[in-house]
Amino acid sequence: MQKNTYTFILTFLGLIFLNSCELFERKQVTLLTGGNILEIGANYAHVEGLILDVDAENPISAYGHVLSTSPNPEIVDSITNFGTRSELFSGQFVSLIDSLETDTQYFVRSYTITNGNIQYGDERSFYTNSVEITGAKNITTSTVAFDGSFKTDRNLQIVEHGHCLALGGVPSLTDSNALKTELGTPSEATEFTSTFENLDPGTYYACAYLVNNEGTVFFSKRQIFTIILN
Amino acid sequence: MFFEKFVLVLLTFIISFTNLSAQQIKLKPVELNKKNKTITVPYEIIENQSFPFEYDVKLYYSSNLGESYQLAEQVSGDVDEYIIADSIYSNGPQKEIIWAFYEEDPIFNGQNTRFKLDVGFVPSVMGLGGKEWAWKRLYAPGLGYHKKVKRHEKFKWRWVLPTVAFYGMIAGGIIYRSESNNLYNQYLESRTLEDAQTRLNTANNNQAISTSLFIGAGTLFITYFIRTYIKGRNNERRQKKVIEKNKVNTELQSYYLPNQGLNFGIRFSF
Repeated sequence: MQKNTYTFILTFLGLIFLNSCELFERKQVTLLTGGNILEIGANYAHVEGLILDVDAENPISAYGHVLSTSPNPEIVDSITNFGTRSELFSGQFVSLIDSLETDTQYFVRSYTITNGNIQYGDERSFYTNSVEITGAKNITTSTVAFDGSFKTDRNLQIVEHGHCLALGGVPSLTDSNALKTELGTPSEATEFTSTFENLDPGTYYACAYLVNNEGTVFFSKRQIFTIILN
Repeated sequence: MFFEKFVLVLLTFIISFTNLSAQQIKLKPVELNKKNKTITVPYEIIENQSFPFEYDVKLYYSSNLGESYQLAEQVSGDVDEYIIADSIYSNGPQKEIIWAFYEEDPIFNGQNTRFKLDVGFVPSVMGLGGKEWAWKRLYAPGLGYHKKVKRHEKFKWRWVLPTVAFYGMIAGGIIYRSESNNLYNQYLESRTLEDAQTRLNTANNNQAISTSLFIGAGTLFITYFIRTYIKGRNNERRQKKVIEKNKVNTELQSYYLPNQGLNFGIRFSF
């Protein structure tokens, strides 16, 4: 047989069996992305991770977040661990990280471990205690006012700010029973004031908040005050 | 006494022609060999086609002026299958059948005799390629089969169809495989669940199409390889038979009696 005949046959067979282990379906792999930082308080953070796909043949043995005050946190740093996973479900997981230092920059990455291989998601960073609340003032039988301020050196890109108030519980922007002022995008001033009126008697928790352009909510430390029936 | 009567009968026969658009069978005066008790039936094959044919010639005789015919079985020469008019492997277009009438019918006396040739013909394998064309035309599936080992195609560009189909499927397979690779790389870079699932699904679809096209091309390739190989091998076998048959014919001796002829009816069958 001629040499070019061999070449032709080998080329053809090469094409036929190109990626022959993936003849009809590509290999599913474990995919991870950083997710968003959902909420940051004075000394805590809620950080999201997103598993986009899971290789069913090689289940995840551990996943969560790693955290450090230095860039590129590793598995040896502080971690959260959600255990094993062999199916995708929704893909989302949220680490509730507390006991953080106030006014400190942290770096966080999501991670998965599969067959001993560590995969990291995109790195995110955040500052704790970016917004502060000043104690309740002008308290009457049905009104109260607060001052607030935020740090200007953290490139916060604020699209919303104000104060949030909840009767007998932790204030939350998603709680329909919570009261909040929405002062919009702040001007150059870094201080702001909110006044709440027509309050019922009871013990209230209050905090200042910011929302940045990525939807991250920054909360200040909480203040407690009580409206007493006159 | 018998042969004198027989010759008289023969002299009343007329030479005839049978004409077909592609071929002509031209009959010549038959000759009687008294010594051997045979009749030699000469005929000529005239081919007008660009390619040769193989003929299956049967000789029939009648003893009742053509009301019924019988197959002449005690025949030799250019008769039965594999007869060609080729000048290299045979005597050329001049043919003859030798009928041993005495062996066939000891009481045959030549009276009321008619002869008929029944001629079937198919395109000849002579000049066609052998099984080596399966290898020699690997790069163009269909070319070896439709142009080298097979003849008498109604559509002479028919070989283009499998070749175009083969390379078309290869090209399509490469394009879809490339697209699948691109989408798979995008899947690996996905940032949302929707993107990841959509890209992987689309990559899988393209991968399946690509593989199907490659398999289709491979099937077409192998099919034409096998068809060419088998047809070429059959050509070689048949060519051997044809050569053997016509080689034997060249060694035959015939005895002509001048100025004698028989009347023939010739029927062509396909």
